[in-house]
Amino acid sequence: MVSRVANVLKSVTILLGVAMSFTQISCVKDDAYVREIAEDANRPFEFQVPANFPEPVAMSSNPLTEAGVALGRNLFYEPLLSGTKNVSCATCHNQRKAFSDGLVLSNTGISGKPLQRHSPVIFNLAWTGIESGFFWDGGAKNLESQAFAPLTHPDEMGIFFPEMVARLEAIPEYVTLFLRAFQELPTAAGVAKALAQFQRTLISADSPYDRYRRGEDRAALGASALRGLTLVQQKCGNCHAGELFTDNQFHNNGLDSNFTDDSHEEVYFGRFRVSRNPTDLGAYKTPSLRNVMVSAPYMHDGRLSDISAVFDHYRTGVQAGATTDRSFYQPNGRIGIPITDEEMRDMITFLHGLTDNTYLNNDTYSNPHKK
Amino acid sequence: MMTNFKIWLLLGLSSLFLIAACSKDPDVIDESKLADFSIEFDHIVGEDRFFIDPNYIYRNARGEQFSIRELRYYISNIKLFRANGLEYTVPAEESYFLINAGDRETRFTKVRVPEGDYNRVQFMIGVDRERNMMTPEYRTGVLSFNPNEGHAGMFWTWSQGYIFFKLEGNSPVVTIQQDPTGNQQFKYHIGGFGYPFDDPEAMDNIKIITVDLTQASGDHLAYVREGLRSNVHLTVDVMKIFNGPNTINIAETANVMFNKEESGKIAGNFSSLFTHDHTENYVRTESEL
Repeated sequence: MVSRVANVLKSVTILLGVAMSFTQISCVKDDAYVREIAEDANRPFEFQVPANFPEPVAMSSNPLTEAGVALGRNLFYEPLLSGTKNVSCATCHNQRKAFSDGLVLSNTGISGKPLQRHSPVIFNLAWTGIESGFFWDGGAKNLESQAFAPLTHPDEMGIFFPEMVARLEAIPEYVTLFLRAFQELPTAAGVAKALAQFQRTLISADSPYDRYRRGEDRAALGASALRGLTLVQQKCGNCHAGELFTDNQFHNNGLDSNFTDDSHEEVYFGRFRVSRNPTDLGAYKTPSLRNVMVSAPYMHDGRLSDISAVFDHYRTGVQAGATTDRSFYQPNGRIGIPITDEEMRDMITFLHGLTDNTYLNNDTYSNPHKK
Repeated sequence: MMTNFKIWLLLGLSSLFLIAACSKDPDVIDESKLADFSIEFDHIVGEDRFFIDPNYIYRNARGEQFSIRELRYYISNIKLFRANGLEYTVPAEESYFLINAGDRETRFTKVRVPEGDYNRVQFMIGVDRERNMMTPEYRTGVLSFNPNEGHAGMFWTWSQGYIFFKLEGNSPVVTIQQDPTGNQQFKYHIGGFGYPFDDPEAMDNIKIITVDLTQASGDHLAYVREGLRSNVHLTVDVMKIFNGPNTINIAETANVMFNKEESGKIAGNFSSLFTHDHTENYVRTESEL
């Protein structure tokens, strides 16, 4: 009897509760919903600085959050961000190739026309500051502003932002992710911020070299690779410096010495186009040597097809120009880096030791839309 | 018989004249009718004529010698105003023009506007934010990316969209450090639509020019009537790029593209370039202009 009364009471309570919630749902649900997911969102992303790395650049204006990174990852692989709905960031930035695309000049954007510069790798960008910026010539000062260029470029993703925002607003999962990440509905600025957050989490710090360097596995590099490590530090470390294997600076590495072609808005002038500093003529940002063996072809225009072509260039192909980096000049006046065949073999063995399979296969970096 | 015929002929002819006079009465304005309207961009260089000629040497206020090789700029977002404050905005799609000072065929921005008496015209130097971000199918005509018909190089890859204004030439004061090609070129490529919008450092050089048609001596309002054309004739003094409110010296500033401060100084001179000289109304054919 008691239990029957209790059961009836319970049913009534449930009914009342359901009815009340229906009456409240229209006015309360949205606010409560936004608050709830906003609180949930404020969990910062736990950014692990590898033990052998310097401190990353502070990004206080766009702090990493779990929701922001998750949103950025979804957007990075989202073809709806292109005008034709079939090109995503990942079209030209393939994780297996260190987020480059293996092409000399990408022609896989919405127009199919080749771009003017080679698709760069993406990793360890949390260590790139505004003084060096992004793109081969540093034309974008941070990842947030960088994103707008490929999104809108008519030969890349060619998206009209109001259309992009409308597409994202129509997908409840994206609305939820935006609310959690930024406490607002989808915006173009939010897209750029989320993409920047995701890209800052792409870390390559677990190559055989890293495991050797941190003392986790003293056998990770063999004798030839260790000789190669010393040679790379001696002969390439001026630019490919430190644990990041880049100084994040701009150098003219002697690919060209003639700068009379000022077509395409001076795209062949390199960093000079942006800085107007005469010493920056033909200078491009030093790419990292990490994962170099999986990210051919090489250089800002992809002109060198494989690693032996790169060695050929530095040994015998460096052109003497007014702005060619002084570090290529030897005490005897010769230009180029003296490297014997045997040294080159050791150096290439070492470069293989910079291939980071943990990063290349990291599931948290991969396409979340694929089941 | 003959007299009768003459009288009828006379009556007929005079009534024809009357009808003609009525139908062409310029005081009757029918705003539902669209008519031809154009702005003409007539280039000068200070007191001198405009030439694209490496041997024709100009001299700016600083005494720097220069010649002009290229001058192009976008005109867009054309608007007309009446004395009563009413305004008409030309539909955006019909409102993009690329003036090439080296090609007289491009000197007019020809649009269709409702009949009316207009006392003010407005236009943008450059391409608005919205169009700068639209997908390629919305970028037709002078905005298109098709070689030989579209933007003619007035576009920056990966940065800031269309170049709004491009002035290039040569000057003996330009050093090899400033122009690595050794051709002593100065280049002013002005663009930037304020992107990203939330970035205070973003370059924004969109300029709206308003021309008051009541300032020229005589009656030079734009009287727009169906079947006829009204042409607002502006002079564009290129020298004002150097000698405008902001002084630009070629020796110091030989190349401007992405430097926000320098390009802002040049864009700040834009409004001083344009002067309303006169208006040609009731024009029947372009040869009258």
